[in-house]
Amino acid sequence: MSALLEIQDLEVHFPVGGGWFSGPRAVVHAVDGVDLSVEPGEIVAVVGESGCGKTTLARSVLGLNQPTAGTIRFRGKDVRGARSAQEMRAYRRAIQMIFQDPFDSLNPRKTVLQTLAQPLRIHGIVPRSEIRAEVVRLLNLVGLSPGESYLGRYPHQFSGGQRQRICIARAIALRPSLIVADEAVSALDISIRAQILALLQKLRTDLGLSYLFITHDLGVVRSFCERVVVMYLGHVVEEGPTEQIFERPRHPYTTALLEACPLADPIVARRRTSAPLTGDIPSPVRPPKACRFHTRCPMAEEICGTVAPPIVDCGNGQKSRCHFAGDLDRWPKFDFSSAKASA
Amino acid sequence: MSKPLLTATNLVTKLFTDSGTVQAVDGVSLHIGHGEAVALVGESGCGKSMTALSLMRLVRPPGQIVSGSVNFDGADLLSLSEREMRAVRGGRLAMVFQDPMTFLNPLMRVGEQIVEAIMLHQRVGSSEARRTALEALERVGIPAAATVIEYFPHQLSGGMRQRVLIAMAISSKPTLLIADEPTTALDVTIQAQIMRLLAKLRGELSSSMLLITHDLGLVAEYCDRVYVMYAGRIVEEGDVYGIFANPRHPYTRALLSSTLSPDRRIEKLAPIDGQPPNLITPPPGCRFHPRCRERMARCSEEAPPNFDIAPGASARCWLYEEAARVGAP
Repeated sequence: MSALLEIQDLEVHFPVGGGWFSGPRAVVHAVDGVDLSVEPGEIVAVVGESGCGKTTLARSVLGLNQPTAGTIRFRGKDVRGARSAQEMRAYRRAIQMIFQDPFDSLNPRKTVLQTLAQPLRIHGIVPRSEIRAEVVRLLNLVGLSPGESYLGRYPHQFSGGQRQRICIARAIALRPSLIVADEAVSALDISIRAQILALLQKLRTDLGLSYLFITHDLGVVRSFCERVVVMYLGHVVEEGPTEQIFERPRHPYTTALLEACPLADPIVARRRTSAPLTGDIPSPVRPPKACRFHTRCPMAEEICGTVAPPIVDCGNGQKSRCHFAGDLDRWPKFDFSSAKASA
Repeated sequence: MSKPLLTATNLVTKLFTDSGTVQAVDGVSLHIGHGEAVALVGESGCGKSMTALSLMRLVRPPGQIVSGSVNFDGADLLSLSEREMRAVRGGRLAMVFQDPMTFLNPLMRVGEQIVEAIMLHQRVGSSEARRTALEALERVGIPAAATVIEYFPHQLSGGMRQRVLIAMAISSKPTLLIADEPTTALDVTIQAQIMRLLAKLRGELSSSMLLITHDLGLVAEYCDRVYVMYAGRIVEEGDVYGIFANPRHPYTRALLSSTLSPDRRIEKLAPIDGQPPNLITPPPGCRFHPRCRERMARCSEEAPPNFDIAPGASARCWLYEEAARVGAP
């Protein structure tokens, strides 16, 4: 099976400063040599904290910023090589997006009908005479039913969860094969978040979608995503099947993230004794040399600050960028489920 | 049981807006014991922050505390003069909020701001206050506190700013710290640092904490007792183990089953329908009934009272009428 989306060695650097007042020119290493692939029908999570480059990665896939180096292939075709307007159009149609803030991503002066009719018209998805009926169908599909009753309303007349449904309707209007969701449920309340995730699950089955799911919420990742890519300061530090990553992380940053996550279970949560990571996330303008995590890593040794770690294959598609990934004796015991079993 | 540190009884706070009166806090009663960590948990708009502001008498127009009482350490806070209240607030009753940048003056060095707070509440000279400020900064784990004390807020990261606010809050050795979503704006590894710090300081100062949050994970890990709030009312109360192992109110159950925790995979999500009601025209009867899977005919007509189910555990739901009667002496 060939990958739907394949990213190789992606590098996105942004120059900052260099103006009269803003000091000397520097470079933000937002994404630095990232490989990533999404198979048809797959849900892949990209997780990490602020400044890890997950949003820059998403925006590069959407063509919203220019990579400095590397390739992005969609269905085997190099996206940046797409010269003709027609090719670009087909690509834009096949990849759609959902953003975090449903308040900022809808035009307040357009009705729902106008918002959803525009992409249908531009891309000629249905004949003009059927646009209205198609919009109603889309609204029903995302759980805003009966769709007719919502057509004339404006964004401010909807709650956050409903707005996110409109954004989803807009994303699926063009019958895409991949949806890039950047923190799509982070701003929503718990009960609404579960509703939207259930909707996304249903749409994936019904429409055969794939998702590139950018998030910082590991709880959502475990229940919603099949594969996880963990990023830290522009690098992928670990990736693999979700269950495997959560049960047997092989990078100390993944372990630290999992340890830091609040668990909705007082017994398991209180049994955890590990100290949280110290220090702040370093600036991506001057990321640490060699392993970028070594300044905060509880396992770090001299080599970590001098030699960049290789990518170690841990089996079953799990890969870690840590010198000690293969050295199992060194690995601290980590397992949510065993903590539970001994409860 | 000894007398609680803080007791709020039938607190009612309304917002008198142009589009109608919002019943933000509608008859909330809660208590916080000495040394206890209590959670007030709920979704946005449920009134949890408005409850916290009411406890501290920081409700601003169009909001107004309409009725009820708040007893803190023997004093009735709602009847104090503004001047007396100012002595309590930021003194024995301190607070930490979600967004530290909103509460730090961007034009003042952080040290000056802490010194100002200390001199407002303690009778000390400026050099003494500065020493206390430095100690407080060291205590909250700020590296090179002597340098940081001269920084402006914009020179600090989000986690460091929150530490500065906590330093300010603890400099007066409060007996109760109200923390309103103190880590919501922070990354998860920084959140863990801040929460552990709050827990450690609470132990050192043997103070109590009221944690206002939407995150059940934080509740599970850091609180002893829990109040669950929905649409302006407290719908369930219980100790943390009971709430998580045996939630009583259908809303608490829905909240827990909608919570995705990284220690378990839920194959099929089963969310509750609908959304929290508008508090200008809340639904009659039980405010949760339009979304409730276990609603009965009377739920839409009569608001259930708070039924005591077991010692320290109660739920505002008709399902427990019988249990409460049997359990009553």
